[in-house]
Amino acid sequence: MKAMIKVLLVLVALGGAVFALAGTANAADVKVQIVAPKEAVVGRPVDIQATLHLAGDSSALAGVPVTLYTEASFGDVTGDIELAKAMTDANGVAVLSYEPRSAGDHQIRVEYLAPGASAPEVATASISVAGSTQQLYRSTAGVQIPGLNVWLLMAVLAGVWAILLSIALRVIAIARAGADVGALLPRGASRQMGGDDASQLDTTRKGVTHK
Amino acid sequence: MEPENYRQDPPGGGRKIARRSVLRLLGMGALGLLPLPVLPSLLRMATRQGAIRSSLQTARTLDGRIRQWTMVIDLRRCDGCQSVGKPPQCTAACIEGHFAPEPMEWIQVFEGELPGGGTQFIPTPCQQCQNPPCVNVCPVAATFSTPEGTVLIDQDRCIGCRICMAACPYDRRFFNWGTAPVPPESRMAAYDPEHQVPTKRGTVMKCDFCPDMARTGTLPYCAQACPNKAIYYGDLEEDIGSNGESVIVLSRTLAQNQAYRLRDDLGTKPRVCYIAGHGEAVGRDVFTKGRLPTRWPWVEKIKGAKTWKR
Amino acid sequence: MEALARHSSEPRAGRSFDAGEEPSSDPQERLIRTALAPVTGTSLAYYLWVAFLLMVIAWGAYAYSRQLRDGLVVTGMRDRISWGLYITTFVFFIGISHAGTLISAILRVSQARWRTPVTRMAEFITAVALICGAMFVIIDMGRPDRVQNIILYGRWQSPIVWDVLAITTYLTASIAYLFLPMIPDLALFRDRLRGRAPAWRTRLYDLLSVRWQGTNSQWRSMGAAITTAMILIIPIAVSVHTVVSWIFAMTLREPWNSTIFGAFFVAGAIFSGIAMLIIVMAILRKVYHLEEYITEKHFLYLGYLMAALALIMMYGNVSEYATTGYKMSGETQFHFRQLFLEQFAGFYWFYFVGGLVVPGLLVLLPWTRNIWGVVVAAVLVVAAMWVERYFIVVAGFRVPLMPYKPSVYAPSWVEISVVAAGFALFALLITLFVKIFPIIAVWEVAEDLENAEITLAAERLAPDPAGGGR
Repeated sequence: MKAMIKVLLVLVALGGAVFALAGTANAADVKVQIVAPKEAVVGRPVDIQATLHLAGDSSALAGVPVTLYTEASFGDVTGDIELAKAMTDANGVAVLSYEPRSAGDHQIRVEYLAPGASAPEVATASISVAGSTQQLYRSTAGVQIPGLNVWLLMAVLAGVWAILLSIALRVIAIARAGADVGALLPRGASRQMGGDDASQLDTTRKGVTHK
Repeated sequence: MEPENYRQDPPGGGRKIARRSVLRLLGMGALGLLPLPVLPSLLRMATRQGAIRSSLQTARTLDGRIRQWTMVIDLRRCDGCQSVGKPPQCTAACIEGHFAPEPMEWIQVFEGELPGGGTQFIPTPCQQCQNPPCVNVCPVAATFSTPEGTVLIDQDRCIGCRICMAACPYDRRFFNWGTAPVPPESRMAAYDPEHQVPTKRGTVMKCDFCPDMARTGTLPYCAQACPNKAIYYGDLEEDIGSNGESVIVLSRTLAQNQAYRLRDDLGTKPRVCYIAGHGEAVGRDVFTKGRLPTRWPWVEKIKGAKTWKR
Repeated sequence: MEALARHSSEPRAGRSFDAGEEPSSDPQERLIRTALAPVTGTSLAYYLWVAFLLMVIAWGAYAYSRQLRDGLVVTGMRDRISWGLYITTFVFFIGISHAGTLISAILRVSQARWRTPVTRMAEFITAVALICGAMFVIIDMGRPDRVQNIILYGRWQSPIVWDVLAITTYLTASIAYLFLPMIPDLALFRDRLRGRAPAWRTRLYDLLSVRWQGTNSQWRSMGAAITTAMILIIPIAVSVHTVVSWIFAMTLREPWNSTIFGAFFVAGAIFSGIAMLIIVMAILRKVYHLEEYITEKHFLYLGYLMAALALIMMYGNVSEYATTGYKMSGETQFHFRQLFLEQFAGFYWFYFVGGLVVPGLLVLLPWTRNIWGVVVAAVLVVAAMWVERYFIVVAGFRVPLMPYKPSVYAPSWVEISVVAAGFALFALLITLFVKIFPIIAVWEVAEDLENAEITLAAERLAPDPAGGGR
């Protein structure tokens, strides 16, 4: 039992020592360098290179996260916005890629917060973003099928109404034909005849028509 | 059927003439119908009725791109205002700001069941669909999509057929069934589709996304009033938004938090996104159910007003 | 109606024809006299009936004036169930309007001769039902004062505009189709009633008979026009009810989100149209003594058609509910519960059993296969089809879209009064129509009579005065 406790104590002490050493080593002077283009255009991604190395032996700091920030405001609120986050590679280089969405001069900032440190290591650059008139966010809806649109509906409708019109013209033709017959007959012949006589005439005529 | 002699050919090539005349009639008919599509615009000109958007300006970025308004609601921070012990403050602020008549809750806090028991609160404004079913069915274009991606209603044109209410899958449209119980001062306001005051009987209303405020750089009433800052309002064109406390990059926030849209399977493509949650960020217990009912503060109401239930 | 029938018929028999005249033995002359009878004599019961209808309409107009004054708040409709009795009745009437198309156009195209005595009534039901139906859309509007916006700002993409286009086209076509075969009969009325009818009516006949003299070229023109109209009207009628169903099916609501809706509504429309035709036919037959022309055979044939459509409706129900019910996607579970077990169960099962199964049995079983059986079946069908429209509209709206408590809809007195007035208007227009226009297609029936005589002479069969159906 005692041996076990001893071993444990030693382990804890060792671990503490390692952590303390590492912590001091990292929190100590890490240098962040930033390489950013001077100019950019809205909507075109830019790459920002951040290089991290230890101040002492200038060895690369690999496998740690760095974050890219800028300051922005919307709706009366101004604050930091996180643009990108990346890990450093074996050479201590992180490539932070982001797409500028607003025109103007922007201050960008790369931060590395070492474990246990209270304040991050910072490097800044300024980038001038040119405006664009190209709409970047677009929402589309619907499917356009050539030939299948409102004009087809209108064509069908126009066809139907043209046919209805032709029916109306047929009725006019009936009236015209009636006028011709009226002209041939003695004027108002059927009108002067009594009701029954007139109908007799009418039915007979009809009878003749379809026999 | 017709008498036999219908089917006999009329003597002397009459059929040919008949066919030609029919063709002529059809041609005349088609020609007569050509002006039909132009007719409405002529009538509009005659009655001097202008386009709806003539008074409104599109909101643009500095370099001239059109703003794309959007909303992100972080449900992790919404506790239905249980912690402040008041009715949902987003709804209350919206009602006061828009003189919304009872019982309209343009942004309504629904309480949804969670799969394992307990509830979540879902503040629901108009979802501002990009494939809006309401706009698709409106017979008179009284409800329309704006270039900023919002959906507005012109109550001066709406005919009150309510097919948009049948079409809306989010229950976000409200009808002025009667003379709405609103304060008399609201009657003095200048009406605009972006600012639906005063109410008009027999027409449909809904959340308008406060585009008039957004254009001047002010957050909507609901976002301003949220005590937990759960409502972000933003512009997808510049990819930026705010809840009145902090600024966020919309695309990163949405991606990192697995944001979703309500009933996304319907294909309506809403502009309102949600971050799943049940008020855990503000310490809500999911089994504390219920929220206080919304109240309409209008003490003095216009004459002849009548309240109705939803 | 029975009492009315007997009352009104007694005095007219003496008054309508030249006094003391024996019923003519010439079938053609008898036919003409029967057709003229309703126009020439009017009984007290008729006036009472019209007065009753006018009272119902006046009450409905009062109710509507309240709605205009206070807004739609006087109805039972609210945001969550925002369509109710008005739209139900609109869909119902548009359905009824298919009577004319089916009987006249489809049977004319298929050359079914037995249809001739009932075509006129069917065509008139079509026109009247369309007018009544279209009226309900305007009644349902929140801003009827802005109805002109549909023309000013109409969008081709909206189902409402499709409806407006389809219904106006259908109304025009069906009025044309009602009018065309009536021209020779109007000419007959013009000639027979000269000096006997009031001046305005004489002028009306003069105008509407478009100088019909029965010449060959006139018959030819009319025949061509009828042929065009009857072929044109069938696709229009199908489109009308399809488009009406699309008001619902073009939305994202679970119970309406169905591809079968268009076809199902068309079938339902023809179904209810036949039933309404049977009812109107039975009443007019009794009141105006058309027994010689409208016989049991007409009822039975229409009854068979109705039974066939009942089977199609059942199939439509099975097809729709089996496919959605098997998957139970979305809110289907809620909808099925309310439709089959809870709030709407009474309506649904009345529709299915009382409106599809029982009428089918009444028509097909030998014991009830007679005029009474068919008429009872038709009454059941008309009621059930109205109920079906009701639960399609209201149950569709009731399914909650968001987490809220399902709403309830209870029609107010205003809605009920206005709907009652709508039905009264439907009855009134038909009642007035039979007083002005020939209710049977005289020349078509006469033609059939002649053909029947020729057939008789040739085949020496027992006489069948009803005129040949085959």
